Amino acid sequence: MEAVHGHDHAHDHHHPTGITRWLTTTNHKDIGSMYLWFSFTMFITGGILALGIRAELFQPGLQLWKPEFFNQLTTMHGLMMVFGAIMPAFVGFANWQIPLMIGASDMAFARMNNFSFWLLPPAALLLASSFFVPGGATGAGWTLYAPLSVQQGMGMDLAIFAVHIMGASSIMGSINIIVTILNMRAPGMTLMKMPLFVWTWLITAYLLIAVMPVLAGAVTMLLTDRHFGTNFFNAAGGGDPVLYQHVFWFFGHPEVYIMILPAFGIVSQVIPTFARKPLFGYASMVYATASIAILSFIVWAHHMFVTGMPAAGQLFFMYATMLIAVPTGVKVFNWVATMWKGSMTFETPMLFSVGFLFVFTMGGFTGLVCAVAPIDIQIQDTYYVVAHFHYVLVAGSLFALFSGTYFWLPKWTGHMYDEKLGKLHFWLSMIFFNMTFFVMHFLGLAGMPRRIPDYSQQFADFNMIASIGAFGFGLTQLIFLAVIIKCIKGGPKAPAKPWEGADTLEWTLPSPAPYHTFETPPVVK
Amino acid sequence: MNHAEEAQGAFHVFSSRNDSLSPKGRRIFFVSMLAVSLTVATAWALQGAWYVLPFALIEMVVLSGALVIVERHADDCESISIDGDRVLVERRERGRVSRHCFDRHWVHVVVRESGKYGQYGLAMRSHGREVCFGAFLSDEQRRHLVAELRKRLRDY
Repeated sequence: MEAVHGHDHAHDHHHPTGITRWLTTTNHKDIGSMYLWFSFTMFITGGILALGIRAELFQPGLQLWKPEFFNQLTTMHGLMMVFGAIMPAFVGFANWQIPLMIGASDMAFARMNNFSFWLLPPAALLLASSFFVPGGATGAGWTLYAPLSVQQGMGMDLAIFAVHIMGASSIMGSINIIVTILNMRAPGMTLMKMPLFVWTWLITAYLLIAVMPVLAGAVTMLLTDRHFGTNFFNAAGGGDPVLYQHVFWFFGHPEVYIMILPAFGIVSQVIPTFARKPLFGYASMVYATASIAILSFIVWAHHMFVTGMPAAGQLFFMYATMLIAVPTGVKVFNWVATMWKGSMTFETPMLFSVGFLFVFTMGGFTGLVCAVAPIDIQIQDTYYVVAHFHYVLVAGSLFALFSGTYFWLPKWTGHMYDEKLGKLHFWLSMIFFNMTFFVMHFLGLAGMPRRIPDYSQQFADFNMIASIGAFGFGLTQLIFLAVIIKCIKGGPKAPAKPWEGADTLEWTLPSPAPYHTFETPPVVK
Repeated sequence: MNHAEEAQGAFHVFSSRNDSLSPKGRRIFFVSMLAVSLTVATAWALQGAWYVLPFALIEMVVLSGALVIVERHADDCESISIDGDRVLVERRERGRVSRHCFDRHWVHVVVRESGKYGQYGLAMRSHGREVCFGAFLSDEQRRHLVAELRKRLRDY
C-alpha cells in the first residue's frame, strides 16, 4: 500500500509523564500498551491457576486441593483467560494497530477508550479477590451454569459483577473500534482496501455489540435469581435451568469467534509479509470472515446436545456447525496458497503463524468431530472437549497473539527483538503445548471427565505427561517476557520497515511509532 | 488543503475534516446494528429471558450517542478568504460557525513549532486578537499555506 503524507515527527508533542500519563492518557498507543500488559498479567495469573490444576492432576488421588477448590481453579482459570487475557489482548492490538493501519490519528472516542481500559483492573481485582471471600470463588465453571451458579456463595456475586464490568468495557471498546474503522479511514482507503486485521476487527466488534447484552442479561438474571426472588433458572420456582444454557451459549459461541477472528487477521498480515506475496484471495477472506460471524449466531446449541433436544434440533445445529468448516477451510486454503511458491523466511512471527496454521487446523478438525451429535453425546464433558478448545484458543488465539507481538514489536519499541530467544520461545511453546493437550484427546476418548480433581488409575500416564507439558509451557512464557523486556530496554535499532514484505500504512512511519501519528490522514493510492 | 481557488485577485482556501463514513452510511450502520441487537433481544424476551432487552436498549443508546457526536463533527471545516482589504477566517465546529474578520494591512501569520493542531501551529493575529487555523491540514500543507498567505499579504 502506498501512501502520500507529510509527517515530520522529529519533535514529539509534550505529553504527561509518570503515573499521570497512564491514568489520564487518551493516546491509543499508551492505551494499547496498557491493554497488552494487563492481558499479560492476567495470562500469567490464569496460567498459574492452570498449573494448580495440572499439579493436582499429576497423579491420581487428591494431593493438593480439596475438590471444591479445584473447581474454583478451573472456573477462575477459564474466566481470567477468556475475559482477562485473550479478549483484552486483542483489544490492545486493535488500539495500537487500527489507527496506524487506517491512517487515523487516534481512536474515535479517546476518553471513552481510556475509560474502557480502566474498567478492567477493578473487574480483575473482583475476580481475584473472590478467592478470599467466605465460600471462596465460584466453582460453577466459566459458563456459570445454573442451577449451581444460583446456589453458590458470594464469590459468585463478585464474578457476576466482574463479568458485567468487563462486558461494559468490551461494549465501549467495540463501539470505539467500529466507529474508528468506519469513519476515520484515510482518503482512498475503501473498505476493500483495508488490511485484513482491520476487517476482522470490524466484524468482531459487530459481533461483540450484538451479543454482549445477551451475556449481561444472563448474568443479571442469575443475580436476581440469587438475591431478589426471581425464578428464571430455578426449577423449584417454575424456572428452567436449560434456558440459561441457551442464553449463555447464544453469547458464548459468537464469543469463541470474537476470540479467534482477530487472530485470523493477525495471521493474514504475517503470512503474506514473510511469504513476500500478496494475500491470496483477499475478497474471499473478507467474505469468509463475515460468513463465520453470521453462522456463529445459529450454532449455539451444539454445546447442549445432551440436554435433551428433538432430533430435528440436533440435526439443524449439527449441520449448521459443520457448515462453519467451509469458510474456515477457505481461510486455511488461502493462507496455504499465499505461501505457495512464496519467497518464505521463518522469523519468529512467521514461525508462530505457521505453527498456528498447523495446530489451529487440528483444533478445527476436532471441532468437526464434536459437531457430530452422536459423537458429541459420547465425548461431552470429557477431556476431548478440553483438548479441542485449547487447540483453538491456545494454539489459535494465543499463538496468533505471539505472532502479532513479534511482528509489530519493532514498530512499538523501536528495537529488534532477540530472534534466537523468539525462536526458542516458539519451539518450546509448540512442543510443550502439544505435550499438554494432544494427550488429552486420548484421555477424553477413553472417557476421562473434565473438571474432576481425581481420576481412575488408567488415566495416570497421560495425565502425568500433560502436567509436565503444562509446567514446561508455563515456564516457556517467561522467555517471552524476557524477550519483551529486553526489546523495550534496547537492542538493534529497528528500521521503519523491518520486514521486507510488509506493505501496510504503519510501516511508512518511523520506528518506534511517534507518540502522535497521522494527525492529518495520509492519502492512500 | 481540500480546495483553493483564486479569482480576480481574491484568494480562498477551504479544508474540512476527514470522514470516511457518509451520513447515509452512518444511518445504514446504526439501523443494521439496531435491527440485529433488538431482534436478538426481543427473541430472548419472548422466550422469557427479558433482561436481555434493557441491556440491548442501553447499548443502542450509547451507540447512538457515539454516532451523534460523530454527526456533530461531520461538518467541521475552516476557510480563509482574502478579498480586497478583508481577510476572513471562518470555522465551523460542532455546527457552530465563527467568523473572524481582519484588516489585510494589519494582520500577520503567526507560526509556532508546536501548535494546537500539530507540530506546526498557525494563527492569524491582529490588534491582540488571535485565531488558530490549519486543523485539517498536514504540517506540509500548513507550511505551504503560510508561504502562500505571507506572499499574498506582503504583495498587497
